[in-house]
Amino acid sequence: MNKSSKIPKAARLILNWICKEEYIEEIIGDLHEYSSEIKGKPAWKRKVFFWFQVFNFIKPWSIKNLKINQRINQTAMFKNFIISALRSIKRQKAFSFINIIGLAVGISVSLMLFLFIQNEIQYDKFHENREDIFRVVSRYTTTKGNTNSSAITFGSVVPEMVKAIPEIQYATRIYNFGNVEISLNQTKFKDQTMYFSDHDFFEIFSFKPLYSQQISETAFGNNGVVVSAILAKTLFGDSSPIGEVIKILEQDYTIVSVVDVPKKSHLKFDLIVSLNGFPDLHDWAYKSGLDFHSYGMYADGVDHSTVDTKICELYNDQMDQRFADFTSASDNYVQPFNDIYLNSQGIANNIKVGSRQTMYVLTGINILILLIAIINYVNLTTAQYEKRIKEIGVRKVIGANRNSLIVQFLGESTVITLLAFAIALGITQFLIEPFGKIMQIEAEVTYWSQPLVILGMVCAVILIGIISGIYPALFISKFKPSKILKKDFSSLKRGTIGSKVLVTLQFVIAIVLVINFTFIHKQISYIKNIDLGFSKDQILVVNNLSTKIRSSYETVEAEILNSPNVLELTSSQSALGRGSSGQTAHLASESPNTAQPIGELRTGHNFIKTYGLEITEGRDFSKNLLTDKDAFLINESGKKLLFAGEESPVGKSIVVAGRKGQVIGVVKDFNYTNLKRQISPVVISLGSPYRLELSLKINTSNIQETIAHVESSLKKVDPDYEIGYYFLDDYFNNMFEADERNASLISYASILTILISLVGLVALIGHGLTKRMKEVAIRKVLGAKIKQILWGLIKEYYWIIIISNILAIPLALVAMNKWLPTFAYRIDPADYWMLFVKISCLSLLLALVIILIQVYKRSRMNPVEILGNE
Amino acid sequence: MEKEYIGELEELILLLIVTLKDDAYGLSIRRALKEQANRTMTIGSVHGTLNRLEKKGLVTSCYSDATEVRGGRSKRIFTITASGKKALERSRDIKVNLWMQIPELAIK
Repeated sequence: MNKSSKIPKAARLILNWICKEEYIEEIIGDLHEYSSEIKGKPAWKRKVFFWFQVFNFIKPWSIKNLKINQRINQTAMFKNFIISALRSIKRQKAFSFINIIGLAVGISVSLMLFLFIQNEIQYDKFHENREDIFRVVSRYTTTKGNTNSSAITFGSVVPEMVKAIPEIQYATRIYNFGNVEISLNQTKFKDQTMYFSDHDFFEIFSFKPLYSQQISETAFGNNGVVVSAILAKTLFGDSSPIGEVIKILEQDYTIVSVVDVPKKSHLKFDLIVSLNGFPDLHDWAYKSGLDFHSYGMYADGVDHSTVDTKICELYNDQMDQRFADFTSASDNYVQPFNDIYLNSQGIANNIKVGSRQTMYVLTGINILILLIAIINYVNLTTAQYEKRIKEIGVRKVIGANRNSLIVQFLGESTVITLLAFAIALGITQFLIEPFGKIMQIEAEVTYWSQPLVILGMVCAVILIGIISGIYPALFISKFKPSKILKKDFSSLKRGTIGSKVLVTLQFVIAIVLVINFTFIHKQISYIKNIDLGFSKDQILVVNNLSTKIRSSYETVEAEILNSPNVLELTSSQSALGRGSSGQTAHLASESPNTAQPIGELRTGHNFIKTYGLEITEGRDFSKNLLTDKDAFLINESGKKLLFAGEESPVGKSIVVAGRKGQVIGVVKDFNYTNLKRQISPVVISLGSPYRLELSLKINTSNIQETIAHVESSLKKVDPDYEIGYYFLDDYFNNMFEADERNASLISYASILTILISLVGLVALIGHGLTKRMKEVAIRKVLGAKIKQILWGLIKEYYWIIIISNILAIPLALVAMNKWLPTFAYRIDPADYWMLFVKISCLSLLLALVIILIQVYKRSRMNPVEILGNE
Repeated sequence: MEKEYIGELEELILLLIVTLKDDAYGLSIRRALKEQANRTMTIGSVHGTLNRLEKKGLVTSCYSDATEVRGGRSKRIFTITASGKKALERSRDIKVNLWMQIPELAIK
């Protein structure tokens, strides 16, 4: 030991490990001598020189041969590997096809889901300042104890915080005006989204200007408008629209810039005009309620949390003053920009948000499908290798050692997974668009331009290949050739436990998915058919009404009612079910301090009748009583809120948002907001200035004719009018779009997993039976009946399905209980116990059929063929 | 062996083996290369070339006694074989022959 002390131990170990034994003596000797040769140099140089020499010994000539390469004609051997792999694929065409395609579909589905997820994650990533941007979110607790969060704030937050907090570099308000109609040279363009904002908007956000680099503050403030590239293209084609004048809401605006609004942006607009042009902006901002989105940007290098605290204090103070009547606490907060798109659940009035729930579902399904596909592949491959056991025996006899067999198997499975991966890429390329359309998620294949992602995927696939090959490789290569060739598979039996566990896992996943899918389906159809308290069918809503039409409503009404297809007609601020305006109300006899938040629906006459609402006490508004214009109808929840006990509110006076009026009737509770929420108190008032939408109860026959009639009636009043309409039931059905999307995603996934699991079961049985053919044959020889043999074999596999069911049902229940509480009206899984039974029975039945087919086929074999070789 | 050509480095090392006689082993050859031909090579590449020469049958090797300076390891002493000598001669002849064909003026 002492003698070799000059050479570091590590160097000796490395060389011993890497270099051929016959050279070690010489190499180490020379290195010793060398190290004494360089003694005179400084220590660090000695080290560098020495190690340089050491690593220079790692050369092709010096490296130990891998054992498998020794004395074997390598090319011929690999050629033979490929040939035998191809032969085994050919021999079992259907089997290999299922195996490869199964894996390819699994990879492809998870690839597509990955792209969907990536698409959602990439939202808002184009803003250069995104790390420094924030949004102020309102959060307050009402005196009733409800906590509300909203993305809109007072208009006074932004100007005040800029004034008071110098660490805020820029801040802007956005007022989302919604859809407007614009006109250019008498041509009208409907449904353009318009924002009102401040000039800082363009300093904070990185919407790229197409023509001019700078958006002048004065030009923008002075009736300027910034349009989106898409709108500019519609209006002016490819020529520059800068300086052109367009008419918005009867007023002229000059286009000062065109900006590109990327698809993946939560702020989506066609037009932005300056808030400066708003009359009474100051009053609106400083006196009114929540109306503006407030965004800001921290100055460089300031501590975000201290600034946040200052903003919250400032806003809390404002809110405590202005909302003193009905809030008990204000707890506003600052949200980082990066959180807005995906992390805004529970915040009302968002401009556009993604669904975190959908993301979780997608990720979960993604992992499950990939897992199930890999499990299946491993199972099938294992089963396949056992059919090739003779080949392995012969190879061993000829002289293949274990290492070369392991390399053969791993290589084979890697090549097959790569093949499956190539197919998966193809499938993805073709299906991503149609699949995305079904799922209503925009997604595109983005990885071609991302070499790192491609590399990662290839590595992952090779890993899958190795994982799927490692079990058969290590397991099968272990056997003694004498046993293999004698078909003595007794030592193989142990291996099936692993496969059984895997198949059980597959069934658990499949059953969980099926149960979840059925429940989501049940829940959605339950909520769609729930009694809303009013009829949403046969209701046609006409919107987009012009000022002219609104002011001559009586004429319009008479015109439209001319048609026998129109049964009822009413006007309102918005159609029923689309929310109400938030107000406060209190009894006229009590002080304003007792005011409670309440919704108000501003409607025209005939509203109750058109929507089929039921009046339980008092009466509807009457056209003949002029005093009714100050009267209120109240719903049962509202009655409970304002009036104690059983006393009838009819004839009592209440004050809603400062307007005093009599309650003339009570309406049975109906659902006027999101069906995910409980019914809340509401008053109905007559509000002729709010005739923004017409609701028509129509005959379901001749719908097109009716619409044409409505349009022509309206055109008589306003020749420029263009009709805009929708059916109310469509609107309600669309409310559950996200949930339905999840349901259909899960349904596809469950079909896929069921198929894969069944294939896995087939493989497992095939794999297990091969090993037991001799046993079955001997039993037959000894006189066992097919029925007895069948029973014995079925028993062995049936408990897999039973255990899967036992495991899956609680898991599915846990998942359901996470999702169901998002609905106010929900089904109770306990009421649907029959469903669990049905799904379990179905899975048991399916499995039974599969097992029977497999087992029966084999138990009918002729024992002579099996035993003949002995 | 007829078609076996030797490379420039191989030739150089073969010549050094002949000059170093009984002391021709990896490190001494490397040292001689530096001194006589002004070429610095890693020990690894010298060993590589020596192994190649041995595989071609141009040199043989045997282990000498262990020495203290080598940490108790023995040297692998190389000696040139007959075919090694032949290869050297052939290479020299070819070059001399070529040199002869060049008119003296051209090279000056």
